[in-house]
Amino acid sequence: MSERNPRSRRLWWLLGAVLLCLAGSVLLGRYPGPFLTPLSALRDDRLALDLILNLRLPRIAAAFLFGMVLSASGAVFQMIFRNPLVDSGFLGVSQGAAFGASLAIVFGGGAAWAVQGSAAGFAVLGLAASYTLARRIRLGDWVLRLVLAGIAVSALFSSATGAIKYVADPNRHLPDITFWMLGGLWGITWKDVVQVLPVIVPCLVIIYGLRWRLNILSLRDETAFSLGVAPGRERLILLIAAVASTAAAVSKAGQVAWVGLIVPHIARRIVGSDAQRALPASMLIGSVFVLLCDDLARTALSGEIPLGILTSFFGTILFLVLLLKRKLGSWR
Amino acid sequence: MRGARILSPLIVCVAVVLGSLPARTNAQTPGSALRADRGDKRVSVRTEPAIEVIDAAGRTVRLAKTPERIVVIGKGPHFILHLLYMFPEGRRRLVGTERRGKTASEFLDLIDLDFKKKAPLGVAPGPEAIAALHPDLVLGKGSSSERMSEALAGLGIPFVYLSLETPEEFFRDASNLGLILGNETRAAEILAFYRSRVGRLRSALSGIAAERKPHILLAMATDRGGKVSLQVPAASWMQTIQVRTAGGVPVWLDAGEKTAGWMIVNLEQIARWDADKVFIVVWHSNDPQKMLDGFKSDPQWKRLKAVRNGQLYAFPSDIFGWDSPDPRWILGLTWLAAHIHPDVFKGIDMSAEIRAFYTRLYSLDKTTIDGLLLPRIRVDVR
Repeated sequence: MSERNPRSRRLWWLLGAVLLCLAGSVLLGRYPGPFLTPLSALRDDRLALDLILNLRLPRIAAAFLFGMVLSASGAVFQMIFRNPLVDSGFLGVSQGAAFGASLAIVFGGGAAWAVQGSAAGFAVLGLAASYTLARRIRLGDWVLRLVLAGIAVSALFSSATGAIKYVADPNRHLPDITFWMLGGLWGITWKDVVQVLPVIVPCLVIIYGLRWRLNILSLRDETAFSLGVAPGRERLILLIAAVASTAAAVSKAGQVAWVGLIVPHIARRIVGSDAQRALPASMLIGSVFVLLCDDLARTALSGEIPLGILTSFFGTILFLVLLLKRKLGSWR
Repeated sequence: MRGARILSPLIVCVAVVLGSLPARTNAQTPGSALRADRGDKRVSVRTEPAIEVIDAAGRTVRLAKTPERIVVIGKGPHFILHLLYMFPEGRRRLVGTERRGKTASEFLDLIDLDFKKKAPLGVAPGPEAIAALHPDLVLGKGSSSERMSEALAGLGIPFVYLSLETPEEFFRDASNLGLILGNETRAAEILAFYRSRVGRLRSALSGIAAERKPHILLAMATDRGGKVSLQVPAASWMQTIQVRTAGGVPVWLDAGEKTAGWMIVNLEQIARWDADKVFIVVWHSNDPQKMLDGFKSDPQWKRLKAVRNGQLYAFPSDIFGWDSPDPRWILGLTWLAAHIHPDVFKGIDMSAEIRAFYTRLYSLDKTTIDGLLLPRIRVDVR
């Protein structure tokens, strides 16, 4: 039996784990008691059924989708930039979203559409600025130029966000900004899920459909070109899909860190570094990771724990485990 | 030559270190000895400070005399300003204040036409900016106050920290201000006003057994980042104390004890608590009736006991909320008691309470109260 079969089988196991987590998450909550909701409550308590249908399910769907998006984007960035320590914060996407949200909270009245639209818009602007700047830099190859430009744009947005926080009303706006930046799904409704689906689904389809090209796009431009790929154009398509879907997710969930960074590494550990398997594995593991973190965020305590804190905490632990076990190699 | 090369930087280093040592001045230690040279002998003349208070941070602050120029800084400066303005000396001697948004000026402009002339300091002013106003006292609140007090001490400017977070701390801070401003009589009047009302509530509630006290949820509704969220206050905060003092049982204590601030709770948790009465603190820029109507029309909220029984209220406010460490907390407490135990407090007239508050504590006349304040009071929104 070839070596490929066990790794492909693992994908099916991952899918099974995802379905199990989804089913379990539906029964986890704070009503009528902490943690597990008995099945009888669904039959006898109308409020329990309403809470599950109108609060838990959209939130579970959002966690599932956003986990897939963040980890798929992270896998795309790491392969295209040939850098294992890259995620959506690398190209100014996360920092741009944070700046956009802060701007809307302080100067835009804080309306939902303003905050989310501004966050998404500036996330995309972050990528556009990084890309435009990279084209003007005359140092090293294209990947290095984009990395440098991304660092500069991220730093610029971070300092601008700091300035907004400095002038923000500390009793009103500053807590809002802080909480948005910590990330969370506590206010998600079906309406929010439906709003992001037209962006997220096509982007995920594009990324999934082009996953096998990632193996070639992670090579040098000359090598990729000789293998029949237009590296510049295809990288741009994948980057746009990754950034657009990330922007949509971040606009609803705030900043949810470490998912795009650590999940692709875990996926490669399990199924190998071939993008044909690593990308779907990233998506499945990412969805489970964010789902489990959000389950904890909404059930562990009476109050909500910001999702970004949990993903950062557990993401860091997993990262340290991977580092200590063996080197962070075989990422492409 | 080599020796000079080694010694020169050493000499420079020693000179820099000696030059950076703080010089002792009389301003740093107002009660310290004055040293006068009399020939070969030094004579110490010790002077006792005129005023000595222990502030909210437990620091002993000594003032040589009653301050004439007062500056207010810190997070939420309007809390201190609203207390300071209860003293006629306070409003006269205020020379500058940190301005964080428009909050302070929305009320103080009504009672002090000269408030706008007080020098505004930007957000988080540094010691130099404060010293430029030549204060002889700085009042502050907030976690950065300790660092600021040390910096100002180096400039010989005394700093008094106020807390105001609980009724007891409010009473202590008001007493300290009376002592500092040389008007302990006025401080006693203020404390008598508050204590008489708190005492009235406690006396009326003393006969009510714990199991008869309703379960209360008090939460702040804010459109945080565009999404309406409900947050419960910390267990040690004024809002929680108000509910307890008003004879209610706060249902969020286990959540509130885990945080030093507001904590978001979701509807599942609210449904699990299923409080007897729910009070929503609505930010002043939002319409409380609209907010409450939104909750009441929500199919999940309709199933909650408080909503079914018509016990969902918006917490009152005028220009400022009645639920925070602002001096208006006494109005909020009185109102809350009247709504948690309406049978016990049916004799409470909130209009009279509001007038008494503004007349006795801020010396506002009927025209100002009726024309400028009452129209902005939102009471009994349900």
